[in-house]
Amino acid sequence: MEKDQNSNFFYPPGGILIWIIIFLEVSVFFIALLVMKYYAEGDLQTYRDSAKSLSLLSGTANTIILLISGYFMARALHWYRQQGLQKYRRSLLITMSSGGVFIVIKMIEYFDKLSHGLTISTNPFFTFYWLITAFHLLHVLIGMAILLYLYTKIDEAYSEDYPLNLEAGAAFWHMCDLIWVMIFPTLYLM
Amino acid sequence: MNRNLIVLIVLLLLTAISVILPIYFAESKFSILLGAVKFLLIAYFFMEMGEANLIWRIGILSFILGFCLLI
Repeated sequence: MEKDQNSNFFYPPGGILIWIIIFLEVSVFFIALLVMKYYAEGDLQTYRDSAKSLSLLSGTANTIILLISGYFMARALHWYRQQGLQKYRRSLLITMSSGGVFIVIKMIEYFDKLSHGLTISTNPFFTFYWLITAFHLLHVLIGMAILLYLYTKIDEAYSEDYPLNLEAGAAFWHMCDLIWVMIFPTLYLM
Repeated sequence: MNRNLIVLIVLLLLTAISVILPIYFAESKFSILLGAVKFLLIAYFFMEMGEANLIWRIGILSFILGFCLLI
């Protein structure tokens, strides 16, 4: 890959478009979290009590899983650049598996909340909880679809378009990490 | 040991600290600040900001600084 050639102002890893998307997505989540914090200041006790009903175990587990998946995504890119296609394939597979585990844990958490009657209309905290985490989950699902696409195209790994697609996919996946590491303390460790 | 693995270990340690801290300091905002540090580490190392143009580093640092100040 022409790494040096692509590392100028107009060509950050994955191309300029994915970075505009990342900036916009991260901004949306940060604004949502800030709005939540603003409202929480007015009714701190309700927010704290509601936050305590979230599962710290599943939140922590999901944080660890996403961090590990981010590591393997970074390694996948490394092995791709080193032309180690087998190790690249394995790293990509581990990244996708970690994403799958994240989704399963999230689903278990959602079913648990619903079974306890904690829905989007329970109180303002849970409105934010459902909107923010579901929107993040949607991003993880999109990230999984991108990684799956890259995985199915491995046979064309050294074609002209693949490196840019891979970098863009990796950047999108790391964006899911970035967003989650801010959601986790704001919602679960309130 | 590769650079990414070191970053992962640091991120996991920060996660452990951010989970333990609220037990002892209920009113503190350390967990969110540690989250911001983790954000920076992921952005800089996993997203290869260090190898990109200076403008991206300044952008992400400004973003984190702004977030920390608002929190």
